[in-house]
Amino acid sequence: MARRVGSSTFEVAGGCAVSEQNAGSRKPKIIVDHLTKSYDGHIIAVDDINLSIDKGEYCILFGPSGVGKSTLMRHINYLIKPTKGDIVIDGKRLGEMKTKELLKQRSRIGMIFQEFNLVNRMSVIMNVMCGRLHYLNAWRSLTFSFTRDDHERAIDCLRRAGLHEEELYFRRADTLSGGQKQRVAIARMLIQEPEIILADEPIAALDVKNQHMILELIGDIARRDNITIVMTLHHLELAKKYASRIIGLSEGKVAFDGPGESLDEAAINRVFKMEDGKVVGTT
Amino acid sequence: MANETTANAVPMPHFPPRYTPFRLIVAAVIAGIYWWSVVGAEFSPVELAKGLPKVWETLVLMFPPSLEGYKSLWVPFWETLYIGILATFFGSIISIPVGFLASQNMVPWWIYHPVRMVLNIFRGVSEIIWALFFVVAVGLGPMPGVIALTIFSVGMLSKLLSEAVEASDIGMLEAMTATGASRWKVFFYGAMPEVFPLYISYTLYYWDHNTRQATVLGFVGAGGLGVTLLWNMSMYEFEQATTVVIIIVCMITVIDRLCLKMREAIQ
Amino acid sequence: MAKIFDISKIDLEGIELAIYVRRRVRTGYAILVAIVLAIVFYAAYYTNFNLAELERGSPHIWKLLGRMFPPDLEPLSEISGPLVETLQMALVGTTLPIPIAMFLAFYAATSTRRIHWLGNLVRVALNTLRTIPELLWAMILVSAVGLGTFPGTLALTLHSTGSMGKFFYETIEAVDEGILEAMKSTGANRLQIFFFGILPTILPNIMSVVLLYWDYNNRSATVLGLVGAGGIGFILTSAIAEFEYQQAITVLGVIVIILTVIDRTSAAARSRII
Repeated sequence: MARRVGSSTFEVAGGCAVSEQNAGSRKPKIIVDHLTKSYDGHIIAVDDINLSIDKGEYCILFGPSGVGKSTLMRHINYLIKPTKGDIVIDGKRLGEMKTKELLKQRSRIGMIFQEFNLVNRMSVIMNVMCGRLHYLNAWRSLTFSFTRDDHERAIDCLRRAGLHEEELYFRRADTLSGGQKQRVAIARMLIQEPEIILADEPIAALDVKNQHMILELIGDIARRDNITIVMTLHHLELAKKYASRIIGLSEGKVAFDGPGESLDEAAINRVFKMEDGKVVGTT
Repeated sequence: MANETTANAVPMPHFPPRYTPFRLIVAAVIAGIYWWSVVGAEFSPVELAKGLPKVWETLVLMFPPSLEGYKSLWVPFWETLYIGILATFFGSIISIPVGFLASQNMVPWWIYHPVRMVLNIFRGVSEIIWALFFVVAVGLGPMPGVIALTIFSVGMLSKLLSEAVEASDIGMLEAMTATGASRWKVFFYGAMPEVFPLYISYTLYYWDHNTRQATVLGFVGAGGLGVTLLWNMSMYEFEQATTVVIIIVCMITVIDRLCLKMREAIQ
Repeated sequence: MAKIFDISKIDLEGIELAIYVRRRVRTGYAILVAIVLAIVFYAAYYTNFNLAELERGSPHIWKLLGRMFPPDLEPLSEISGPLVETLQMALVGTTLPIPIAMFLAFYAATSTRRIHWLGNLVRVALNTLRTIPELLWAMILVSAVGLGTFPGTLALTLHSTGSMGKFFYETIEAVDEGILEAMKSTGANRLQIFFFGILPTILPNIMSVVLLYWDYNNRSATVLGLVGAGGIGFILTSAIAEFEYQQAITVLGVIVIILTVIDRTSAAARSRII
């Protein structure tokens, strides 16, 4: 399951180096370049992080809460702008993009959330079609009229996300169960035809059965179209099972980076700053 | 001592003293301002005792209401109603884009600060003053009334809308932004559906308010029943004035009921 | 409203179903929009409201604005008195109605009233007080008791009593039945239930609405002078009526600044209460 796609080469602050032979043979999909984010000038959320993620990789970020996982991830589609450094996707720097280009870039990055973030008062199918907003012209946007093509894509995506009952499509989004909501969110992400999927604790609000189903669904989707995934996840067992690469963050820095198998007790302790199973000075 | 027996039990919570010197001073200052205001507003029991018989005399003069010339009331009646409808319609439409521009989480500070400043002016000046201003500018009739109430409604509704948008769920806006939608689309699809019931209920409230104000805009010549009323009062035709007042009360009551029903339907 | 649209009786599926639903929803909205537009257009026709006329009037508006500048600071020396008067009227006109409205609401609310017809009568009275705008009250009262701040304050009081009273009885009715029953079971009488059960529950709402009406009354008080009911309105309206626009803009500026400050203060107070 944990199939490692692509490769990476770099040094990590924690001293764990990962290198492979075929580095440089192809361009990385995402490069995190000396990324730093500080709030109010002194609270540092992300501290000079360098990463290189290849196309098709299934990356999972883990670490104690409040360590900057979500912040780092939100930089990849520039929902948060960095204080220093930049994100490079397909060789293009996001910081140098004009607003229009940035929106274009964002439309190729799908994102799902812990709380699903569906618009409660809209129907399911409308929620999915919101993924096509980037392509919708002004008049159609103002009158809430998506095209026939958008409807076709939405139905297709809902089916791919595992929602087959058409009765559901025309219900209000807040009447669905948690698992169904996350599937709708996945359909909204699929309709964007993403090259990169960002997932922020996508299963934290779900029950155990749904957790596996959703993770498998995301994995299948990504494998089919060779999509790059960056996901935050605090279930280490699940992370080991599904990820091709695991990145541990600690105090805004990378403390572990490697394939799922190499994540041992020592590495976990390093990330969580633990000695003999006890937490030392974490915030 | 009683304390000794409970020494080992749960400690008593510490209640701060109720009457600290600071609080007493604050209370004294407030009372002073209030007393000063009551005096300044000439609102004394003596004044009330002197005034109430006169009010009663006037009320006696006002009854029974006279139906004389009631047919001439139709035009100002419809005018008042339509001023309220038009102002609310224009106000509610305009306040959507303006509300967007006044939302802190939607536009940069150099847009929302000036917009809010303008809205403060729209709201800070009373409808009657706006009407007076536009009567001077575009002449007598219902039109200055409509413009005045529209401006005031835009000021109010935009502010309320932007406050609702600022309080809306960040996650939903984030999800919309992440799809590559531009700012106004995020507003339209991420925020508006959520604040829509609130927006409708504010709009309905201002319909009620606008119609109520439309009845007095006539005092400055901006059309509606106010013109008739001013005429009646200045001619000491109190009995006819009563008829107009009764019409106003009935009209606003019906609109209020209608708004209630519509609000229930939206929820 | 769980379902946006009931599809159980429609024999379509997939994209055809989606398109069908879209058409039906759109038709619904189109009808609604058409009705509203028809009313608006008729209203515009009836009141001779058209944008062409506004276009013709707009040079006048600009000219008028031009004549307001530069502001003439002369009235600043004489407005402090009427301005303070205005604020005093608003303060009394907002606080005085609170106990009166509370008392009346106690008799009007279905959960606390005892005499059915008396409750309805109070409601009708409150409704009448509320539906008559304060400026109209002021006009009637001025013709009754003469010029001055007294009729102005009374006008604000009457209108606010109606508005607050309505809000209060609606809030009282919304109080959880459980609280009332718990109080009743302890043997509390009606007055005790009101003071120790209902009042603490609705206090934040009351404070919030009182602040809202303070704001409202401050603005209303600035125009009561139009009908001779005291305050700054007399100076303002007479300046406009006498074409002294440079003076009018000064007075308006002061009003806007003071109202904005009060608005901010009460908004801050409200956010602390809620």
